[in-house]
Parts: sequence; C-alpha cells; structure tokens
Amino acid sequence: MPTTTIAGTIALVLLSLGPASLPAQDKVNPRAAVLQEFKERVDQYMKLHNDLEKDSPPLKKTDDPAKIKASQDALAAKLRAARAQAKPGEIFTPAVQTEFRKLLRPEMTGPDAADTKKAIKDDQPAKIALKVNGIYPTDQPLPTVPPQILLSLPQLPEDLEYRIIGNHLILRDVHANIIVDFMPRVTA
Amino acid sequence: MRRTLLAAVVLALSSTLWGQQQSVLPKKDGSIKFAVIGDSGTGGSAQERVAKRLTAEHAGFKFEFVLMLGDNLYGSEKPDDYVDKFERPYKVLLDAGVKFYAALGNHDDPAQRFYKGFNMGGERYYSFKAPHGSARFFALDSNYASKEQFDWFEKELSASDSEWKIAFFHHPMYSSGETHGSDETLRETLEPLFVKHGINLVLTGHEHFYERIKPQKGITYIITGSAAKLRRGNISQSPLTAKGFDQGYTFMLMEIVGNELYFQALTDEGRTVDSGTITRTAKTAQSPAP
Repeated sequence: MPTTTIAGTIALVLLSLGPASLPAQDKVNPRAAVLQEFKERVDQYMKLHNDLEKDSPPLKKTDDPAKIKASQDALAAKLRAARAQAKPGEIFTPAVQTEFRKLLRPEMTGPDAADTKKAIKDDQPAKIALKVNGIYPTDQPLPTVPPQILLSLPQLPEDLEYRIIGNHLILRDVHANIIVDFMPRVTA
Repeated sequence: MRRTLLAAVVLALSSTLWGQQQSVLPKKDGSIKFAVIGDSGTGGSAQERVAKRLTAEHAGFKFEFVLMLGDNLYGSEKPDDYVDKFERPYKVLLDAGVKFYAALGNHDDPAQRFYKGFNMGGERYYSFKAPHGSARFFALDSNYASKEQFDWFEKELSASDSEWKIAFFHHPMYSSGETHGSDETLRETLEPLFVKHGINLVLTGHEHFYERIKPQKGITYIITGSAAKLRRGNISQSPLTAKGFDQGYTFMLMEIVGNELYFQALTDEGRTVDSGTITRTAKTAQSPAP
C-alpha cells in the first residue's frame, strides 16, 4: 500500500541516520518530514484525481478503444481545468527534490550506476517539452524505470508513476496520461 | 526456356521439401499450441506480411493463442490505430477464436490493458493458464518494474503448480543486440526469482531480430522482436548466442507435449531460421509449491 510504503521509506531514512541521530520524540526528523510532505501532496492530488474520476467515463475493460481514449481525455481535461494554476515544484517541492536526489544518489553514482543509466537512456523519447498538465505524447516511448530506481523512491498510488525523461524525473498520471509535476537533475 | 522451367520446378520442389524437413512441431492432439510475436504494432507492410504468414501457418498448426511481447501499437494510439495495427492484420485469426495475450512494451500506453483484444484483464502484469495441459504464462511489465509487481510475481510463482512456467515481457535480460543489449538491472532483480521458482522459458522482444540465448542457469531465453520491425546486422558476436537471425522478419510457433517444448522460428516467407526442443528438467519438474 502506498501509505505503508512511503511510511517505510520514511523509516528507512530515520534508520540511515543511525541511532545517535534519531530525534527526540518531540522533534521531527527533517528528512522524514520532507517525505511526509511529499506523501501529503501526493494524497491531495489523488483525492482530486479520484473525485474527478467519479464524474468521468470509466476506464474499464472494453472492446472499443474509443472508450479508453474518451476516458483518458475526459479526466485529463478535468484535471487540467482544476489545476490550471499548477506550477512545477508543487509536488516535487525544492525540499523533496533535494531529498529525492539523495535517495537516488547510490543508484546514480554507485557501482551499478552505469547499468542504471544505460537502462534509463535506452528508451528515451525524442525531446519532449515538459509542462505541468501537459499530455505525455502518445507517439513517444515511455522510458523504462529500472527496478532499483523504483525501490529507492517512495512508492506511488496505482494511478501515478515516475518516469525519467532526459535528466528529469516526471510524475505521470497513468489514467489521464498527463504530466503532474517534474524535477530536474536526477541522473547527475 | 526449358532450362528456366526446370530451375523453377527444382526450386519449388526443394523449398517444399525443405519446409517439410524443417517442421519440428509434432502437432499432437491435446498439446498446448501457441505462437509468439514481438514488436508487431506498426500497421505497416512488414507486419502485414508476418500476419499473413502467421495466418497461413494456422491452417496447418492450430495454435490457440498468441503471445505479444510488447510494442503492440507503435506511434499514436487512437481508436483507428487499434484497427490498423492489430485488428485488421490478425482479423482471420481473431475471427477463428485465437486469443492474443499482450505484454506492455516501451511504446505502449499502459491504458492498453483495458482493451479486451489484448486479454490483459485490466492489469499491467498478469498470468494465465493454458486452456489445457500444465503450463502457466506470466506477462510482466518490464517498463515499470515496481516492488509491488515483483511481490505479486513471486506470490503467483509460489502458488503455481503448473509443470511449465513461461515468462514473457518486453526487455531482454540477455541480448547480443548492438542497439539495446542486455538489461542487467532487470536481470539482477528477476533472475533470482526465475531460478528459485523454476521458470523454464523467457520470451522477450525490444530487439528487432531473433536470438536464442544459450541457457543461462538452466533457463532458455529467446528474443523475437521482429514481427514488424527489423534491425539488419544488429546482432553482435557474443558468447551468449545459440542462434541468431537478423536478416528478416520473424515470429515463432511453439508446442508443449509433456516434458518437451518444441519451437520453430519462421520468417515472413515461411523459412525456418531456428528450431529445436526444450526439455523440462527434473529440477523444475519438482519445483512447484505444494
């Protein structure tokens, strides 16, 4: 479950600091707090997503691909309207970005870094103009996210996913096929 | 004139005999018969030719289902694309009741999982049992290899008492391709599960050629990602290769009879480029969980 997993990542962050650095009960560990904030922002987005999804054509098994497209387009339009003012960094806040880079550093600079970067580079799309609320172009490949990267980051609800485009980590709404947020410099 | 006629007769005769000699499929009643295509969804003439050959083969080898190894729809995925890149090329097979089971490739929108023609049950990863016999097929989403998926996979493997366990997905863990090569990040995570739970065969695409890999830790890996796209000359010299073919479009036919899996890789012209038998080992025979 996403809640458990994000909580798990927070616990791991606490453990990685070692017993000596465990905070007193009345203090909040800053790294855990950042991940908690990320979780809350994701939850907030998902609440909106779920509310709007209820009023959209359902995405369910069908023989008719037009129904799949209609469902995607309808939800995307509603989300774009509801988040018309959304800016980059609303979910990947500056503090979250710093924390995510720390979480990814072992994979991006460690002994397996070459394999990880090769896997990411393998399926890169042509240059995409990243834009919050922008549609992920359906004529472009979706780059593979190596398992080690996904294990390093907080797990997401089923309708959200991470993708790495060039040097950017994007948060993609799977049902609506839109870019929810993005952050730079993740593979450095 | 007479010489030309004679040459034509000899050519026709030899190709017929060659085709007969190279058929390794026993075509037994009650066996599990299936076909495999990878990287098929271009809607172009090569897909059309492979689809026609696949259809022609079905006349003599009644496979019940087809595994799709990802990149089921290249480019746009509008409703018409489902027709042009899937429903039309395979219409005869679909009308004959042949089921297609798809895995997602890097060119596929995960929303394809809701399309009934791909039999994914609304899931990015899933498994199904062959209609008869003892084989379970595991479709994985190698584009998004989440912990949740691996947990599901291990649970499914543990629960399966099928004699044959066959995994299919898009990205090859072993490959001699110059363009992509082996996905070692995926191998690091998946191979231990394959070994532990007795996966017998792994089918992937992504590379636009055919390559059968020498068995790795007792498991056979086959790449067949040239059912519509081809990268000529893309297989590099490698100790991994048992058999490689990068000079034409290919698809596969397979048949499971007891402990034997017979396979045949064919071109769009019907020429056999590889064939053989995989024998289920005693180790995997004993591996199913109680």
